[in-house]
Amino acid sequence: MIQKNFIKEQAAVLLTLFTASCSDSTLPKYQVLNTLRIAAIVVDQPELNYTGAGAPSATVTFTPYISDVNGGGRALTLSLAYCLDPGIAFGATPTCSGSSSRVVVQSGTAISNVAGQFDTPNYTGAITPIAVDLSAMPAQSSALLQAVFLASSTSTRYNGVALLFEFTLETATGDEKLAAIKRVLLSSTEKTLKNQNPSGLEVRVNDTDIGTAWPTSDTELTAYWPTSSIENYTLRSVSGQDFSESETLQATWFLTGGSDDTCNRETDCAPDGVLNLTRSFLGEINKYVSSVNAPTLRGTVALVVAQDERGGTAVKRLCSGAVCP
Amino acid sequence: MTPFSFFLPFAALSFVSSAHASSQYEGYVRTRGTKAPLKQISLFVLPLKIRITTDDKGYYKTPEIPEGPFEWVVNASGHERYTENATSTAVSELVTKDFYLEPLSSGVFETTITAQETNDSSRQTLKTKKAQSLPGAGLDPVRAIQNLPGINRSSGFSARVIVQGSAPQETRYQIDGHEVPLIFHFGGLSSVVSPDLLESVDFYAAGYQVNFGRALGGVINLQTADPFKERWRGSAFVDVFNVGGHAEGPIGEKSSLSVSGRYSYIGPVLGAVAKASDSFNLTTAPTFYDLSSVFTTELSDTLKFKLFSTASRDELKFVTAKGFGEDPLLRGAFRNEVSFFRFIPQLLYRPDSRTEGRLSLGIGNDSILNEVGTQFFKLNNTAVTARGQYSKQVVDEVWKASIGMDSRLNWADIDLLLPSVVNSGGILNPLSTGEQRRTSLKNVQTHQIGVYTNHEIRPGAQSPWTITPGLRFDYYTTLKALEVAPRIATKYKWAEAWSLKAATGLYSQQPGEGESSKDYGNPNLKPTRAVHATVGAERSLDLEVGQGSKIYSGVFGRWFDRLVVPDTSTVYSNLGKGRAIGWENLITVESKPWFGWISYMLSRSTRWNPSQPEALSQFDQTHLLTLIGGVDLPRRWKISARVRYVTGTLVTPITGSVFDADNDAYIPLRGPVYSQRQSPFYMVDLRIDKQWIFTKWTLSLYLDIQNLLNRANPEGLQYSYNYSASESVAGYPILPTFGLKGEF
Repeated sequence: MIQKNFIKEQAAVLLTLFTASCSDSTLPKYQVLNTLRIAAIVVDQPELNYTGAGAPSATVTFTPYISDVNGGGRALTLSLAYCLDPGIAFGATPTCSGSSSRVVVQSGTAISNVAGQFDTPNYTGAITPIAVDLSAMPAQSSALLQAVFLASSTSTRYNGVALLFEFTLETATGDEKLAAIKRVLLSSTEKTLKNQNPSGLEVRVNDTDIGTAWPTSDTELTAYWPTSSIENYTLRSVSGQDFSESETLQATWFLTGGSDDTCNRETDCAPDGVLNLTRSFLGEINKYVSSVNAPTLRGTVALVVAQDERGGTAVKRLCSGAVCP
Repeated sequence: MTPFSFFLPFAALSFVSSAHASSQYEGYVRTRGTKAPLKQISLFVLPLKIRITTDDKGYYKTPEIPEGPFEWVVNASGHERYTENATSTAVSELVTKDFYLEPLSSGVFETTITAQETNDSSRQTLKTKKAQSLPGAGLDPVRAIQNLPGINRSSGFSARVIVQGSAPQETRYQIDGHEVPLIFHFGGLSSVVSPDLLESVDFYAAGYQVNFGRALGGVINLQTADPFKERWRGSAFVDVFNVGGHAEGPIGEKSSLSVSGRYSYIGPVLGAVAKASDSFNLTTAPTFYDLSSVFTTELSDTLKFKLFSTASRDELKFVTAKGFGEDPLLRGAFRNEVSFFRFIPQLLYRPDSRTEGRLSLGIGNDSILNEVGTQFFKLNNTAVTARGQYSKQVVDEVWKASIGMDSRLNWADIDLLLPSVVNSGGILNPLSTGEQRRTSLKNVQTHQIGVYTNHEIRPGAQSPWTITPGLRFDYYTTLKALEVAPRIATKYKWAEAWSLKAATGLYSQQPGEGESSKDYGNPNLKPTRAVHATVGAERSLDLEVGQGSKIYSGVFGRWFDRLVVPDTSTVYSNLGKGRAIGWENLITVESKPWFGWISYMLSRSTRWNPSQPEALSQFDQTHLLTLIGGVDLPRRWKISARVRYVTGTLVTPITGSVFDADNDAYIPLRGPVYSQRQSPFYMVDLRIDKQWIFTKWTLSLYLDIQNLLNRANPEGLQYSYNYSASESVAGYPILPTFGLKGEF
C-alpha cells in the first residue's frame, strides 16, 4: 500500500500547496530582517573524518550571522553547547538538553560588535567566530560518540554521524530568546571527499559582480557561484548501494526591514525595498524594488546565504545607504 | 360479465372485418426519453374494447381495426396514461405506430441488481441512481457516501475517506472486491470509475465480515453494474470538471458491453488563473482522465463471465519560484503523475440454487512519479489480486457455508531520493530538515495472502436469529507475520420491521511500506491490529412512510493495537494504541414527492503510546450531523439541500521553533498534540435539478451550490516561517457547479 498512502498524501499536499499559492498571506516574511534573527551559521568544516576512536582530532570554527536591526544596540548573549544528534531527522526535539553527551562551550557570553558586520547602526552581519576544539571533548562524551559511531551501520558511518551544535541567542533582559542548530558530520575515512562550504559566492547584475554594495535602485540580481563550487558526492543507501549525486546550491536572500512589524507586508515595506524571491537557484533572477524613502539613520543590509543541501554554507553581506560601515 | 364476454369484441371484429376494409397496427411501447421497452402492458382500442398486450420487447400487433375513428388508451405502471384519437382508413394495410409513455418519476436509467458475495450487516449501500441525486456530490456516487453516518468529514480538497475515527490510510478501496490504489482523482473531485458503470457503492464499517480484510478502518467497494442487455443506449455529460460519455448494449444473444470515458478540463481553467503570477508557472494543470468498460457473457446456463477494465491517469506539473512554507526543498519544478490500470475478469458459477462459486482476478499496474525540486519518488508496481469464494447452502434455510481467498501480490520497482519526513501532531517538519535518503530497488515483492471461511447459521427455518461466525487468516510476506482474525455477526429479526444486529472481530493491516522499509523505517514492525464491536437496531418504515424509509441507531467501538508511531531509536515502532467509540443514527424518509435524511454521529477517537499520554486523535470529530432534504416538483424540477455541522478540526499548538542553520528552515516545537480545536465546520449546499424528456432522449441539468452561505470554514493553520504567527486556512468559498447530461 505504499502507493495508496503516498498518492493520497502527495495529492493532498500538492493541492494544499496549489491553493495556498493563491492565498494572500499576511504572515511575516522570511526574507525580512526586522526582528532579532539568526540568519545563518557557517562552520569552516561541515564534515570531518572520524575513525571511531575517542574524540575527533579537529577544531571547528563557527561564524553566526545575526540581525537585530531594530534592537538599538541592545546587549545580547550567546550560549553554545554540543552533543550527539538525538535524531532530529526522525522527530527528536532539536536540543542538547538532557543529552548525556552534552558539552557546554560557552554560556551567556556577551556578543561584541564586529566592524563592518554586526555593528552600529545596522546590527546585521557576522559576529566574532567561535572555535571549538573537538579533541578536548570530555571522556564521557567521546566514549558515547565512539560507541554510537561503531554501533552504526556501515552506510550510516559512511554518510556520517552528526554532532549537533546548539546556539542560544538571548537579549540581556531575557525577554527574547532564539535557538539555532548546526551539525558537523563525522564520517568514516572510507569517504574521501568531505563536504566543503560553497566558494566564490557573488551577487551579480548583468553577469557582473557588484561586490558588497547593495543597489539603491530597482535592479535584477542573481546569485552566482562557479560550477567548481558544486560538489559531487556519494550517498550510500541502507542496503549498501552507492549513488552518485551532485549538490544543488540555492541562495537565500535576507534584507533588513522597517522599524515595526507591519512592515512584513510588501506594500508597507517602503524603508528597505522588496525582493521578489526569498530563494534563488544559480542564475535565477531576483527582482529588487527599491524604496523611495530609504532609511537615513541606517543602511539597507542584505545577507545572501548560499547553501548546499548538506550543511555547507557561505554568506555574502551587502550594504547600501548613507550609513553603511 | 360472462367468461366469454371478453372475446365478444374480437368476434364482432372478425365479423366486421369480413364485411369492410380495415387496418392493422404494430409497433413498440416504450418509456419516453429512455426508450425502455414496456413489457406485458395493455393497449386498448376504444370503443371497440380491443385489448392488446405487449411482449417482452414491448412489441404489440393489433387485430384488424375497422374503418372509422377510435381511441388509443395505454396504461403502464409508473407512467402517465396515454390517450390518442385516431382513424382507421378504408385501405387494408399494416400501419407502424410506436408509443412513448411519459414516466411519472424523473429518474435516470435503471440499474441491474447483482447479488452480493455475502449478507454483511455492516454494509451500507448507496445505489448509484440515488447517490447521484444527493446535493454536494455532483454526479458522483462515491463522493455521496460521505453523507453516511460512520464516515467522518475529510477536509478541503482531501480525497481521503475517514471511517469511524480511524486514520484515512486504514480504509481499503476496491472495485468488485479488488483493491485499487486510489478511489478518487486528484483532490477528490471525481471518483476514478465513471458512475455510469457503477451499480452501487458499498461502505463496510466496524464489524465487517471475513471476506474482506487488511483494513483497520473499513472498506469502500465499488460494485460495477452489468451492462444493459435489451438495447443499446448511451449518455454524454459535461460539468465544471469533466466531460464524458457512456454507451452500453447487447452483443449477440448472451453478451453485453458498456464503455465509459471521462476527461477533466479543470486544468486549463486553473492554468489560466495561475498564469497571472510571474512566480508561479503551471506547466501542466491538474488533468485527469479515465476509461472503463464492463463486458459480460453467459458461457452456459450456470456459468457467467464478466470482465471489468479500467485505466486512470492524473497529472499535474508546475514551477514555483517563490516556494511554499519557507522550505528550501519546496521550490522549483513540481510534478505529480499517477496512473493505474486493472483488468478484473470474473467467473460466476451457479450450478443450482444452493451452490455458488466466484473466482476473479485483478491484474494491473500502478505507476507513480512525484518530483519536488530535486527530490523524486518513482514507483512502478505490478499488482495481482485474487479472490475466490465457494458457497453452499448445506442445510436449507439453516446453514450456508463459504470458503474463500482474498490475496494481493505486488512486484514493485522503487527509485527515490527523499528525506525522512517527520509529521507529528498534524504538523510536518520542513522536508529540508529530514535526513536525505536514496534508494533504488528492483522487484520488491510484498505479498498479502488471505483465506477465510464464513458460515451463515439459523437455528431453525423459522428462527429470528442469524449467526455468522467466520475465521480469516492473513499472511504478510514482508513482515513474515500470520494474523488470525475470528469474527462473528448476529442478526435478530422480530416483528416484520425490526431487526437487531451485532458484530465483533479482529482485524489487521500491514504498516505503510515506508514504515516497514529497511531503508526508511523499521523492517521488524508487525501488522497493526484492531478489535471491532458494534451493536445496532433498525426499524423499517416501508409500510408507514414509504419504500426505503428506515431508522437506524447503533454504537461502535474500535480498539487499536500495535499502531505504528515514530521512534527516535528505531524510526518506527508498534507501540501505539488507540480507541474510537461512537453512536451512529440514521433516519431516511422516502415519501413521494419528499425525501429526507438525518445522519448523526457522536464519537470520540484517541491515541496514545509510551511517550505520549492518551489524547484525541487527528480525526476525532465529536459531532457530525448531516441533514438532507428534497422534493420532486412539477414539470420535473427537483430541489434538495444539505446542511452539515461538524465539530472543529483538531490542531496541535506550537510552542516555539529552532532555526536549523544547515537546512535554512525552522523546526517547530509542538505542544500537546491535537489539544486545540478550530471553529466548527458548518455548511449549507443546495442543488436544483431539471429534466426534460424528449421522445427518444432526456436532458438533465443540475446546479449544485456548495457552501451556499459562503462560510469561511477553518481547515487548518498556516504558519509563519518561524511558527511565531499563524492564520487560519479557510476551505473553499461558495462554489457553484453545474452539469448537463443527455441520455438516449
